[in-house]
This record gives sequence, structure tokens and C-alpha cells, in this order.
Amino acid sequence: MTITEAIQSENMDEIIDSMNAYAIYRLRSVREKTFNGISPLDFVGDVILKALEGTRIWNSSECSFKMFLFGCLKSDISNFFKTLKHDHLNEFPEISVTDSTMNTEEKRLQVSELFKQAGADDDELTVFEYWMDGILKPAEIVKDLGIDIKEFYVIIKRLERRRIKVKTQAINII
Amino acid sequence: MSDEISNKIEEALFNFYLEADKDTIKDSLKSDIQDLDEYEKKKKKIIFLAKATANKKYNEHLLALAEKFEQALILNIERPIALLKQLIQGNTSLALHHNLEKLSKEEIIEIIKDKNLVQLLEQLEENEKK
Repeated sequence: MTITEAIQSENMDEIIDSMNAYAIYRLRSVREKTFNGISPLDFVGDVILKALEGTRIWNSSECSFKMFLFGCLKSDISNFFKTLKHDHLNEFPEISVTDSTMNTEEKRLQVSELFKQAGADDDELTVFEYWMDGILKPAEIVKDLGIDIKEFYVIIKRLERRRIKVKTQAINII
Repeated sequence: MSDEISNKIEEALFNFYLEADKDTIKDSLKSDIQDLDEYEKKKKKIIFLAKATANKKYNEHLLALAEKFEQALILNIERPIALLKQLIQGNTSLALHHNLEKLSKEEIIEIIKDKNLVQLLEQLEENEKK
């Protein structure tokens, strides 16, 4: 299948909703400070048009169309952050490159403690531990925990909100 | 945050948004977007533009391919003609054409429009190499 065929046959309404939700999450920390009228949806629209222009090549045997677009969006937002780091390092401490001499296990414990202090419950901390163990796919965690996927999504949303608080503090400690 | 920890969280949340169901995404958007009507309007514009661009590209490919077949008919090149004959089978009205060289560009478009254009192009290009 080609990109033009996929655009015609896939449910673009749902794909754009998912991409936009992801873009909002990624850009949350900087959005009001820098966007000047550009919305996360503009990033999504750009990615789709660039895909149609052939800027990036999709191999349909390797991944789904949705996954391809998500990958492009992730890459575009990462490039946007790189530009911000370069242009506004002092204005955005949350995207600083600060690191310390602590080993990964110590850092993991510190960050887990920060989540706890920020109000994370046992469910959230359990999911965080799965992530730190490298288990990153929702389906795998849900299967292992034996919980409903909807319940899992609620936990993730709480954890995501908690992360915004923790991110700034983590830079100061780690 | 440490790069390793941060990367794992980023990757996990990437998977979450990629795989989350429609209702979860809608809930997420409801809590994050102030003007949902405006969002829906803008989204419709993006879809319209994307589909229009996709249509344009598809038509360009279709025309380019039809021209290649037309050229092959004029020059009486064996393999593309065989390919066209193969495609015509099953299309009763077009199969009545005994003289393939009399097929118009519009009729060729009619024959190939529902087929896999990329595959057809690859087959033609393979033939050109030989």
C-alpha cells in the first residue's frame, strides 16, 4: 500500500486525534512559552503533508501507517526540542541536559521517590517500575498485571500528569 | 531527568498514545483542548487537504502509467502488451477490443485504475531494464 492509498482508506479522523493527543503531551511543557499561535495540531498536519510529499518513505511491510506517522511526529517534535535547546537553553530548564555521576539504579530510586512525593499511588509506581525494567508496551503490562486496558489507561494518564511535576524536580536532584 | 530514565518514559508514553483506544484519546483531548469545535474544524481541513493531495498524486500516477502503456502499444512492445491483455481478462466490454493498439488513453486508465499501480509500474520498469 502507498501513502496516497493509506490516506484514502485509513480512518484519518481517529489517527489525527491520537497523534494530536501525543503532540499535546510532548509539547505541554513549552507550548505556552513559545508557540506563538502554532498548535500541536499544526505539527500533526505538517507531518501528514510531508509524508505525502515523500519527505519520508513508508515501507508498509515494516509498520502500520499509523505507526509510521507517529514515528515521523516523534522525530519532528524531537527536532523542535533540539532547536529550542539551542536557542533558549536558559529559558527552559526542564529541557536541560544536566546529568550527574549517580548510577542508573540510584537515579531510578530517586525518580521513583519523587513520583511518590508527588502523590503517585501503588498502581502508578508499579507501572513506573515496569517501564524502568524495559517493559514499555501497554499490552504486555496489562497482561502481566491482569488488569483491564481501560483501567491501565487511567493509571497512565495520572502518571503522565505526575511526571510534569517530577520532571523539573528531577533535574535539580539528579 | 537522566536520559536513560527519560527515554524509557518517553517510549512508554509514545506506545500509550499509539495504542490507546478511541474513547481514551477522546477523553484526553477533551481535558486538554479548550475549543473542541475549533479543533474539529481544523482537523477536517487537514483531512480534506490530505485527501485532495493524495487524489492529485494518485491521478498523476495513473496518467503517467497509462501513457507508458500507450507508448508500449504504439511501439508494439511485447511484455507490456501481454500485461495489458492479462488485465483486460475479466472485463467483458474491453475484452471485445481485438485490436489493443486502438485502445485510447481513457480506456487504458479504465483498465488499470483499480489495480495496484505501484506493482504495475515496477513490472513495466523491470521490462524496460531488459
